[in-house]
Amino acid sequence: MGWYTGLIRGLNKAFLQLEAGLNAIFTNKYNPLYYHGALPQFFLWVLFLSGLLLFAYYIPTIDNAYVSKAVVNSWKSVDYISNSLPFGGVIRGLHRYAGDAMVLTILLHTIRVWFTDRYRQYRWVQWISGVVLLFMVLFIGQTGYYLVWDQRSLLLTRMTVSAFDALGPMGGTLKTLFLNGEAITNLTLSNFLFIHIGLSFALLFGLWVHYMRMTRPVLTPPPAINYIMMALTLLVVFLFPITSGKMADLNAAPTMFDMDIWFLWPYWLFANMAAMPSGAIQFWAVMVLGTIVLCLIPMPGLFVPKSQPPVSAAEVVINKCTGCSLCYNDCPFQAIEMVPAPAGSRFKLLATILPYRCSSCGVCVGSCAFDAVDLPELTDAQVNTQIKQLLGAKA
Amino acid sequence: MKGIVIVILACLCLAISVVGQTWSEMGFGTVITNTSMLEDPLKGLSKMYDSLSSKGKDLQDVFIARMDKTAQANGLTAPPADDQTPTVAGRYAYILFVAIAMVASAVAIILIGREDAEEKTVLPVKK
Repeated sequence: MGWYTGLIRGLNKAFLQLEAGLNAIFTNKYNPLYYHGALPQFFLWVLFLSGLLLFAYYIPTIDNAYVSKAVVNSWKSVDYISNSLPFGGVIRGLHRYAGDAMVLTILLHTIRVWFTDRYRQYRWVQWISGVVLLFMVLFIGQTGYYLVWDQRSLLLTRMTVSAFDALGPMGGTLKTLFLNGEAITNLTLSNFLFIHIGLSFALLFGLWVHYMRMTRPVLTPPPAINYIMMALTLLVVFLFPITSGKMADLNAAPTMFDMDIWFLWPYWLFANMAAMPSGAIQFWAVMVLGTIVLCLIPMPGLFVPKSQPPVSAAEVVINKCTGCSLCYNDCPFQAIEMVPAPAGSRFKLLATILPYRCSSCGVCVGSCAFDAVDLPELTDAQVNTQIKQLLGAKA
Repeated sequence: MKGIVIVILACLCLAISVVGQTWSEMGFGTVITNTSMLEDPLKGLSKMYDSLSSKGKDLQDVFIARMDKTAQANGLTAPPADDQTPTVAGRYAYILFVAIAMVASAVAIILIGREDAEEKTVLPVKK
């Protein structure tokens, strides 16, 4: 895995240089690279607010407005929002591009977490919850495209049904759940709207799981970065205003659509694979295997070079611990618990390490005034020797 | 020097908000009417907007052409050239001015907050 280590080191070096450059311009307080996790959260709030405004005027029906101009369906409600409501088109564009920006910032966050090795050991919860969150966001975005109910929406819906058809009996159930029936009806659009909004709120629960094992997670970028991100999104809305395609007609069979690579790449993949023999099954195999591989990335031994085994958790020297709680207060990962000291002890409390949370950062070793905590593979004597060697080399 | 830049950015932000956003929201070059309370100061603004109305018309045309092109690419007929269209174009221009004002604000905030961001290492003095 020498090439892998080299790749990670190369990426790390390149990004440190980029960080240094951005620090010179923005200072470390406003460097956007330090808020790579908070940026998707910011766009999520923009999506919630803009979505709330759109939801006020959206009508989830597919009634055929070609028959009569008096009929109002989803497409017409979206058209009304875009062209008649004050700033309706702007809010719609903001909603669409904030979604794209959220996926982009999630990918940047994922890449940075990956090559800074911040998914190892106890952080597997954050990694796996992050993979789940990513797929939730992608599916929510796709349902957003269905809601417009233009020709693209109809084609995407039919492609999804085709993909489910390849899964046999299970596919039939999924298709019924997806369409909210056996065919595309008004209930289908209501279902799409429920998924789009309901799953968005479920994201908040997923984010709680994502955050709960972190200590002091940064959830909000500073206001200056928020203004810049909002300004960039508004600029994109100005330069590329959103319009819908032709209204969907169930009697028509659209074959092409305008691709949004951020959300609709599974459909591009499916369209290219479906032409092959057993293409639909292969598509599902690629999607499921890809998800499994992503979830396995934190597995110890899989991507960690053998020359760098995972470090062991810190250990408490019981006969030295006085229960002062300094290490407990200083631990950045809440990996130390204070428990009642054993009977016969002079002290009331005893520190205990929770090894599955410990990242072996050594803060507890530094905080202890009694030498009662140590890293078994990096003792005080070894650290002092290394420091002396470094100082000697520098001289 | 930094103070001067911050003041300039603040004035720019204000100018864009008061002039650019109002002008675009009114659909470019529209004469301000029905404002009896603030008639005098707004008359000056109204004159300025009138003088810029030809530029506003150019901006409208550029934007409407872009909207038409996007609509046609999606298989739709061009939106009707009615009273709504200039206002729609103006609203998109409004967000452009908002974006510029936001960037100016962000730069001013970063300049102000720069000093706090510099890490100061405090060395303990031996007594």
